Amino acid sequence: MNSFPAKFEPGHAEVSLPVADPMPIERFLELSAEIVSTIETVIDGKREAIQIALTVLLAEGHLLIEDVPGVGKTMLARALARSVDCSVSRIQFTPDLLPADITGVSVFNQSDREFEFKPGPVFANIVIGDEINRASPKTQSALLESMEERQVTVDGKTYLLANPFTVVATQNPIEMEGTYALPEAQRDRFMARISMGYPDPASEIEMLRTRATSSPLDALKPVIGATELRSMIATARAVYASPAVEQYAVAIAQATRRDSELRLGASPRATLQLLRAAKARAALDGREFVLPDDINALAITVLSHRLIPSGRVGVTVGGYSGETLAEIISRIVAETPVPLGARHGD
Amino acid sequence: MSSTTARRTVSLGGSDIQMSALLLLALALAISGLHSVLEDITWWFGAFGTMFVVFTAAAVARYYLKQRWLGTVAALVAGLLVLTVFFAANTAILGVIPTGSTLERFGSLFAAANDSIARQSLPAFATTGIQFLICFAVGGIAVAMDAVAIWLRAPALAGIPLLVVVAVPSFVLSSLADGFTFELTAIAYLLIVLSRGRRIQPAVAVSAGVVAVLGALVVPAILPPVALGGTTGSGVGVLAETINPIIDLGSDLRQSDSTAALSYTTTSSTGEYLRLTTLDTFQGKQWEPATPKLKARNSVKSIGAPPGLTTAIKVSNVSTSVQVAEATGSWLPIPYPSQRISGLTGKWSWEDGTLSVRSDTTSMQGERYSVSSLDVEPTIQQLEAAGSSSNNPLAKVPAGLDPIVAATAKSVVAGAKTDFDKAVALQTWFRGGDFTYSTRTPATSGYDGSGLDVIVPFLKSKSGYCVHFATTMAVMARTLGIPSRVAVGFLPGKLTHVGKDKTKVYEVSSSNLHAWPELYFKGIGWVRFEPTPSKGFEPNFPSAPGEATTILPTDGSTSAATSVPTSTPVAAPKLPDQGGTTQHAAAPTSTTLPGSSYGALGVLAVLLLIATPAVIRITIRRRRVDRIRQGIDPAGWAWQELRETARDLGVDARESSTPNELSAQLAAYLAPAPKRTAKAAEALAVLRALVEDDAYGVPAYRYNGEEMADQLAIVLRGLRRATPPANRFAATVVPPTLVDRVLGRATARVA
Repeated sequence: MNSFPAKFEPGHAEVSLPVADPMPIERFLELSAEIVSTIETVIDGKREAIQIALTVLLAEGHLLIEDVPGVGKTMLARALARSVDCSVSRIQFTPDLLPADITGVSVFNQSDREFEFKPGPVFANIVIGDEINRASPKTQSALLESMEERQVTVDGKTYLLANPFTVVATQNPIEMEGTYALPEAQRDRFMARISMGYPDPASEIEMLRTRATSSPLDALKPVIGATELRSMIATARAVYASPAVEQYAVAIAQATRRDSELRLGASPRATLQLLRAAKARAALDGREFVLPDDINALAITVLSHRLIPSGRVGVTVGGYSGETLAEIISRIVAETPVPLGARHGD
Repeated sequence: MSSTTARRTVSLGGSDIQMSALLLLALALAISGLHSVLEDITWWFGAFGTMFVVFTAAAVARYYLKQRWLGTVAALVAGLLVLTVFFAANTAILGVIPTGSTLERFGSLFAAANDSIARQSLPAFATTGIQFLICFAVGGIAVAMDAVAIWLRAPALAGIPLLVVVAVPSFVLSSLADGFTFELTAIAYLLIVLSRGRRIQPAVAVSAGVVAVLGALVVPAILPPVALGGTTGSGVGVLAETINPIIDLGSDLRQSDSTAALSYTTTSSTGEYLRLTTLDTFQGKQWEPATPKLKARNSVKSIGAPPGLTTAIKVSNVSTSVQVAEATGSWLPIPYPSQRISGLTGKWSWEDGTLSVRSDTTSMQGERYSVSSLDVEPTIQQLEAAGSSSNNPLAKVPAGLDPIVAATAKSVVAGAKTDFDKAVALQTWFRGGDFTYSTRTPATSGYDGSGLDVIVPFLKSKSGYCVHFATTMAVMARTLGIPSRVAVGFLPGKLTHVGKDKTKVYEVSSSNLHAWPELYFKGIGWVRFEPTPSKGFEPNFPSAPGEATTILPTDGSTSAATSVPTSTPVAAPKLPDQGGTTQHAAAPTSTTLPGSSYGALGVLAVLLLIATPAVIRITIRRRRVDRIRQGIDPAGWAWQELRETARDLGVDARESSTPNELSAQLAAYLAPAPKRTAKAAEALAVLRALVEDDAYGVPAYRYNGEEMADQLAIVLRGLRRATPPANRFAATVVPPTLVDRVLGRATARVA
């Protein structure tokens, strides 16, 4: 695991550099393909999940991985972190974890005779939050607020977080006792939620073989550094989203708000993140512009954990019923007309 | 899209009014083509008034309400109101607002119009009914033109209603009635199409023009005449529908296209006058057929003896075999007097007194039967010698007869001594040249009937058809004390074949329907006379038994010199005897609105109706392709056209599909026929890339309309090829996207 800087200057994040320049799309594709194949060496047969994880990383979002224990949630998070040569920290959430254990504390330095800020694990480029639903709501909030604001305020002083900053949190949906499922408002801060799902038999057999001798994670070599990651993020951000595509994203979000089967629709933040994720996906596809297909492909991943079904839709596990919500979103997407060529008219 | 809206709002002002004016001009010109089938021009002003009100209402409504469809609604309402004001003001509230009785009035006007059309020959007099019909049609057509040209923005389609109007005279006359009007209308139509500026679609204009010319010239010529079936109630079949056959004889005669009524083979040296029934009584002022109750014992195997015939008169037996074709009716066409009939399938009985054979349950259509009848050949001497029968009830002069009729009869027969001489004098007077045969004059001059009222106008104008001659001579004979009645039946018809055994085959058509008087002579019975000039032939009587041969011409071509003693009054001047064979259609004056033309018109109207959706769909496609080529939102229009064509062909192409998804769907649709659609599949990929780049790509000026339009054309062709012919046909005739449009399930793009 990467080491955290020993000394931390107050009010100054390590990576508050000016916005990086985009890189050529060919280089971008090359690097992203390498990252995906690197992660695939440890997570077998989960290309889709890996793609989305990378998309979220490049779209400067946060990822929520939700699934039963033992399917590789943490492994994915760690592999993703490992493939990028940047600061990574991991927080194991427990009921007794305190906010300060995340954000950091000011301690009195006897030698300097002044308070010194000891940054918590949140000061890293990639933060892995394991079993986030085990912590108390108070502690959860500390993380989630820093996720949104990308800064931490301790004892009246504000400290900027790293750039890029991505939280990859995992959550166990079936373990109910002693857990605090994330409230809706906080789920909204994650750009995307994915489930790992069980591997197919072939992948599972392959996994048994590779794990027989050593942990493949140890063999994993970083593909890019933080600088290159920033450059890749800039590339994704530079992808063009036409007014038609914007209209389409908004139309889908609006439709979720009107839908009779949904009690809570998508927030404007959701729309924003949907478009941002779509840009990253377009870039990963080697395009300079977003297609409605990008929006379609990401709608379920980006929206489903934010929506609350009305009435008795499906069985709610851990506060939401993923499958049924996915169906509702699929239906909405299938009903929303795709705008075409509106640019000329506007 | 908002620029489209803006363009619409702007153009709502001037150009729509201009278009309304052009439509008015075109329709006014088109309708004036009817002058060839209608007399005078007053009807035109009524029609113009109607269309003027309709188009003005539409234009004003659009100007103030700023909604295109409201203009068409206003046009519809205005059309209804103007019809009410013109034709049914007294039934409407405040003379304007239609009520239930207004609709009843409209209904009766329709009926009157149909009646007038059926009764009149060309050019027809525009009766109130016909005027109503014209105004009604013009109003409807004006609304239709307004709807397609302004509301639906497809001015080229306004040519279809125009075409219908222009085609009417052509249908009636089977030729282009008025090329000048046609050209003027065509010019007006071109103005309509041109006024759309850059939206001209030459192909549409040309094809509409071709369709118009085809419709006006070719279709009537190639369509077969509609057969007058027994159940249609038209043509000869009218006899089946009415109790009094003479009523509709005029209109039956005016059928310009005659149908084969029947054919017969006879041993008679001349053709036979086949009689259906006789009219011998008066119901008010109208001749009525004697229709005694049929008696079961009056079997056609043994028909009663002809009244009045005595054994002193020479008779010979004639055998006739009749085959009825299209004629229908409850009286059987038979020679008079018949003795036996065999071969009938229906239940027929003979009437007492008239010897007519009638059935209350069946029609003559399709019957084949043999008749044995008598050829009564009294000599002139016997006829001259016949005593007066003025005490016979059928010699009674009908009440209410204008005395001028009796006076005329008296002056005509002045000098004649016997009843027979008087009868011949009357016949000679009618056939002598003063009178002309016309089915048209009575209709246009208002005495198109058979009652007593028509006699005086007929005697004044000296023009009419068989009914007038027959009834007038019969009534005049009665004023002279000769019993008379009117027979209705068929002329001998056209000799088509002479067999080895001297039997002759005749064909009788609906235009051979005829009426003639029969006069009664004591000791001889009923004798046929022929007062109608140029029709049939006069009865010929030998001057003494065995002295003269009876060589009677049956038609002009076979007419031979007839030897008749010149010293007797029988030597009436012979007129060219062609009536039995002349088709009425040959006479220009007898042209009329034929039933089959209505049929053809109906067929064309149905064809046009069927073709309309396809034409509209093609117009929409062309408009889109034009826009694509002009670079006006090419991606949007190209993709919409692709999607809608796919939907027309049965692909579930949704608006919610992204270009990528739809092209995958269509690629799968093309896949089963890879050979024929390989190009289309390639073009589809190219088109998708172009559309995606144009719709979603980084903004940059690049014109690719031409390429897009070309690729689109290839893809559309491929899609059609990949579709089974039946589905393709269905998609052309009833494009689902058009149905959606009409039903308001608009497939409008998201704006």
